[in-house]
Amino acid sequence: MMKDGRLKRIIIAGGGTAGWMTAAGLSRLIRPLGLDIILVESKQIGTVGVGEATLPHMRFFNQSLGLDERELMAFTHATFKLGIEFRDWGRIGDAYIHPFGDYGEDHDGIAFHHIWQHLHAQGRARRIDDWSVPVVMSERGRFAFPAADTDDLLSTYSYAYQLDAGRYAQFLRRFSEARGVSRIEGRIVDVGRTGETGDIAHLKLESGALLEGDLFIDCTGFRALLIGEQMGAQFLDWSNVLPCDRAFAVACESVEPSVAYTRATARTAGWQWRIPLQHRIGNGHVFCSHFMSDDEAAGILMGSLEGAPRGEPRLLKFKAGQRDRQWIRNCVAVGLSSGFLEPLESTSIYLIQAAITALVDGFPTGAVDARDVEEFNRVMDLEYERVRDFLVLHYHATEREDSEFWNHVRTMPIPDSLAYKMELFRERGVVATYKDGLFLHPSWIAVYLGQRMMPRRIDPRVAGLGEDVLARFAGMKGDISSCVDAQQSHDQVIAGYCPSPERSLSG
Amino acid sequence: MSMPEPLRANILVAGDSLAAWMGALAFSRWRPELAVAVAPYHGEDSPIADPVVIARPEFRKLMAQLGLTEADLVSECDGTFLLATRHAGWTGEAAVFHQALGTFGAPANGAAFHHYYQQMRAAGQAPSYGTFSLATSMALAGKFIHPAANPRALESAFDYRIAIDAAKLRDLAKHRALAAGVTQFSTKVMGTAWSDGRIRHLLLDGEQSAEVDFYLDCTGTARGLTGAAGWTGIQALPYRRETGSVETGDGNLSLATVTASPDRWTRELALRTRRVTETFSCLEDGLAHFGYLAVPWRGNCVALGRAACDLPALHAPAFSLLTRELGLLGALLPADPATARVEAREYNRRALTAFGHMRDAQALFEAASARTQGKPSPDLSDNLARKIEQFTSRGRLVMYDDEILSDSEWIACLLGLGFTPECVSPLAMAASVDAVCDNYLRFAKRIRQAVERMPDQQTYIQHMLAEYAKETGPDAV
Repeated sequence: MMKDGRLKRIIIAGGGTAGWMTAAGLSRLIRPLGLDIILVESKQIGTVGVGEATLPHMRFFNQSLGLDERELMAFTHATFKLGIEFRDWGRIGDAYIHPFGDYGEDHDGIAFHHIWQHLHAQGRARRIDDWSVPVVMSERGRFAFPAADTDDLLSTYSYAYQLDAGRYAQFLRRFSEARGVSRIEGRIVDVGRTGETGDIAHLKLESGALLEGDLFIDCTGFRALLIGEQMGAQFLDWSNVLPCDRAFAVACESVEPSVAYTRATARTAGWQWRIPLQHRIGNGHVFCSHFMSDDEAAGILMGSLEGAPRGEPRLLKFKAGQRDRQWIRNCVAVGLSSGFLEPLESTSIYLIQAAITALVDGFPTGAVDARDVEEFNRVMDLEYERVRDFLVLHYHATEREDSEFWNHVRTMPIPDSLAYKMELFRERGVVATYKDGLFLHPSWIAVYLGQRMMPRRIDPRVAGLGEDVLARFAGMKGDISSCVDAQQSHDQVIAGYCPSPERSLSG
Repeated sequence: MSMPEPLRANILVAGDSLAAWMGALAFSRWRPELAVAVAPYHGEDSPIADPVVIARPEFRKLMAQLGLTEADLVSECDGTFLLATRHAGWTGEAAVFHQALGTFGAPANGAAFHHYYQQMRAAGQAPSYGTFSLATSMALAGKFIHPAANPRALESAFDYRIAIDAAKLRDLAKHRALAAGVTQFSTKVMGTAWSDGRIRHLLLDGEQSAEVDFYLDCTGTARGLTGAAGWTGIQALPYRRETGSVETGDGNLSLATVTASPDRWTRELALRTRRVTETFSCLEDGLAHFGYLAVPWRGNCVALGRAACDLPALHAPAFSLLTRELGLLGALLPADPATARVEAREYNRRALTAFGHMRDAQALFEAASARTQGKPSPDLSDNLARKIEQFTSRGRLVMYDDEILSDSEWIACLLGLGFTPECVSPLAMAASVDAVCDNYLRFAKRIRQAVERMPDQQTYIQHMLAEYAKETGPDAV
């Protein structure tokens, strides 16, 4: 297949969000080298449709493709997303928002959350949330685009989308096909390997057609047809720290007004998501089958919908974990075939994006180089492990004792890497710093403080801050409040910027 | 006859070094309510090991916390703004390259500039890599301005270091520390009494003792408080150092040069009033003493500066590491040292990471030089081995947590030392080579034009000092 030692054809096995994101990324970035990109998918096989809620990184992916944001948001019925609200996680009745932005600002090397804790102890500050522009905006139903000027309060945050992942895949399919990606309808029934190297040589379709290629991207979802079944990548099971293994999902009618945040409400044996799009609300109940039956889980979900359901709830079964290698020989796993982490922090699309970025970075122009494979696997391992730690934190840092499930996750052994981070924050309020890894300081602070992990000791320099400095910080809350009140409502921005046709018809 | 009462304070800094007085000044600013004392150590080596220290950008944050300004450093410490280092001779007599902060070229289509540079080189249309660096171009022309605040301006695309007279900085730190209430003990530290992993008290000259909450070992290579326990030696050539200095106010202040030959290397750089030359020559039979403390924060004692880590002088590591150590110490400052187990653990983790990165930056040069001379390569850490392997395979730069050198410095050094990528990013391959050459040569022209408009550093500093004099008056220090 390879001509003159150069890679000529890429086969993407599977469509869905992962498949079409990969196709779009490669068609924009790699295809100019004269490569053929073929995506094979079957209408008979449903897609999971990961990630209705996303992270700000997705915007950079879309920008690198040159997508028009308004067009994309209208097509996918998207709303803006400034963070995730967590209800009932620390204790029943608690609520906090994990914002896509900073809290306050540091002063002379002193982290803001230490200053806040000092003010809090003096009775001059209640919630740290009041020092976060995106939190206050979320709570008041407002939205504004971030400012470029770093002196502006509106420069302190970013935003993501809440969108219809199925339509996002459609949008990217249109984009990809316009850039020469060939789509083949067909079901993969066999995989051919070359005897000498063990590389994948071709995919055999139900029609009998053989699809030859040089590089194969496995986007076959949980089945992991290529990376798992063929190449033998082992699944590293993380259900010991992330025990939820099922989810029911159902959409319901919208309620007004829409909000610019996703909600994750803790339930007796898991949690429930709520993702408001322009034309509907996505809902789901993630739970642990060891502690709750399917019927009970479905009942909890259907009993708590805010609008009329749009169909019956769909059951998904999964296991948390990742493949021990995500690139083997000429096969690369992207999306659910590489691993699965529950969508508590909307990381599914991010992990697809991270894999595409790493793949492009090490994209073989000829024979696969083992050094590229090693680096890809190293980077993806880091990504998965650091997301895992952050997800486990939500469960483990709880005070809930009202169910077997919460007793289990509160007391379970956790990875050493997370135990280290938690102890460092609990004892001294320091967030462990890493260069690579998705979640930055404010994200960790949001969950730590939102789930009542107040540091036992704070930076002793805070005690020496003058009253003028403390008063300035105390006053920043009012500045943020005034700034947010001057913004348009989230609905107004959506209506003016990116109304979806369906919304216009219904509204 | 009864023993005299122990001298008391909250924090005792042992040593008379730059690290000692910087540490004392830092604590006096961070915790003005505490009693900080400094005591010399009886066996301390020369308190000023480096005639010149080079402050990296990271120091600017710390500087603000210490109440120091750039104008202080320029005015009182003979400081100059260092924009680039010209390296010559590491991989052969003719091999020259520049290490500078800030961007080289500009990324395009998601690929970093050095990938396009390889294409230009292959097409025979590549001037030196430094041509595409504003900092390097400014340095070669002896120019200086501060970077523009507007990130879109070309003049924002660089950063700088500050070369400082180490003795004068020590004096300034000492002056400011004493003014802030730090006490200077005249009696020397003679010994240390450890018990259960903590210092119980220090033995001072004249049968005195000192008993405090927290100790800083700033005694340099004597490591007077921490001792040799836990010292991890590293494989590095031992050096003899010879220092020369010429009084002059002329010449290029923005550029340092490092010239290597098989058995020595020489660094020359300009302070405001003199040029300093240091030659480091290999000792065939010398004893390598380089290394680091595996546990720089132990119990109630933290080793700073050379007491914690001593590395060969390339990249001027001592002050970079001192800056990192003080920054970490500030962020992890214990309210009560007795309960600082978690802080110490995190400090040690991050300090050791920094030591490793700095060592790697130097080992890279040794490896390149050895390769050229057909000598066996020094042992490389896994991190450095991976960095070299990934870069030479396809120009991918692996950066780790808490690096000290910037990515642009690593790339300039890797390329300059002959670690050429076998192939480039496919993102860069999509563009036509003619267009790449055309675009970047125009970019280089813009740099040249921008540099022409800038003042030379002598003039820039004169203006700066005139403003400083107006603000502070003649008796500022």
